[in-house]
Amino acid sequence: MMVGHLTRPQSLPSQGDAVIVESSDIPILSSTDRLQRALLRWVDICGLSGQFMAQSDVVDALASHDLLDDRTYLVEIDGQDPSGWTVHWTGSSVMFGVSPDFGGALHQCIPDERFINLVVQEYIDANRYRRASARRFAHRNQTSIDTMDQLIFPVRGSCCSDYVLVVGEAVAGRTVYASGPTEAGGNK
Amino acid sequence: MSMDFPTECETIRRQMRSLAELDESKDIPLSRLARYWFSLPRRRGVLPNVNDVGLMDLANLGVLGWFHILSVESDNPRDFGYEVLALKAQVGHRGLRLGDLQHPKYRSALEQDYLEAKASQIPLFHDVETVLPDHHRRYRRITMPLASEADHVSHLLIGVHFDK
Repeated sequence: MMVGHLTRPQSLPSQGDAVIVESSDIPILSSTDRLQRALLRWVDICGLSGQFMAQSDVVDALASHDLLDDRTYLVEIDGQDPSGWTVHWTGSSVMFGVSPDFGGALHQCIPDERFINLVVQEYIDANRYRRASARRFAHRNQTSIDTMDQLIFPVRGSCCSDYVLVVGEAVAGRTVYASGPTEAGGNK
Repeated sequence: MSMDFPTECETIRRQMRSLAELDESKDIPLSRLARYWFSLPRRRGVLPNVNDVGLMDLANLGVLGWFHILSVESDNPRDFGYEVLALKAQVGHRGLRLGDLQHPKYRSALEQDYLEAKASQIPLFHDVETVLPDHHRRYRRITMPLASEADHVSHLLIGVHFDK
């Protein structure tokens, strides 16, 4: 049986630049009931391997399965450059809104190219391998740590566009999610 | 605050089994969890670290919803607390302590079993039948120890598989 304990470091600290960005599996002890339930729900609908196939409007289709909430966003994956990826929907506790430039939106929240590259690569992989993923993204330097947990779900639209549905939570520091109490629901 | 139910309505039967008796075709989630536990890295000593147990690992095994993680740091088993509760069991919520369980015999049986599992430091496999005023269940349970920082048991990974 193959069991993974993969941690994907994106950069190594060097002299004068002790920033580490990495992604790893979400530790079970700190995974919230919300994330566990979202993952269980996804597995019930799509299985771990496989995409959500939207027969109609993607947002409507996801909403009809109760897969959208305040810390969820939907990004259309088009090529390798996230500055050309469109954010189609975000929940009310996500720090960016709908946008034609996902890379720019992410940069507003965490301005580190290596961190952005790490997140983007996980989204690309989720789509390429048509496989749900649970990742803890961490951005650390000597004085602070920014950490968020994300479930990454591959979605295919009715006109063969690829998307990722991202269900996440802030763990520590600055992330793409508003800190403090979150609201139910979302906005378009 | 817990409210006890009359004990005459409760029957708790447990029978310890050898791990070799775990039927992989019948109790698939339990056998997968057991193999996972044995595959976890041992950073020090003989116990796997609870921080090496990952959400995606468990999802990949197809066991989401079939296990609890119980903190057993306290010397008092009533303070053992569920940090992850099997969602498919529908028996409560995260943060529940054994001392919060309503049924005295059931609570006592779990306290005894989990103390034993904590002390043994090896996986324990049980057949369990619980007859309580509000439910009747038969299930198999595997209890596996996990460490945190030092090499002592801080948590139990508890797989549960209910009969239909």
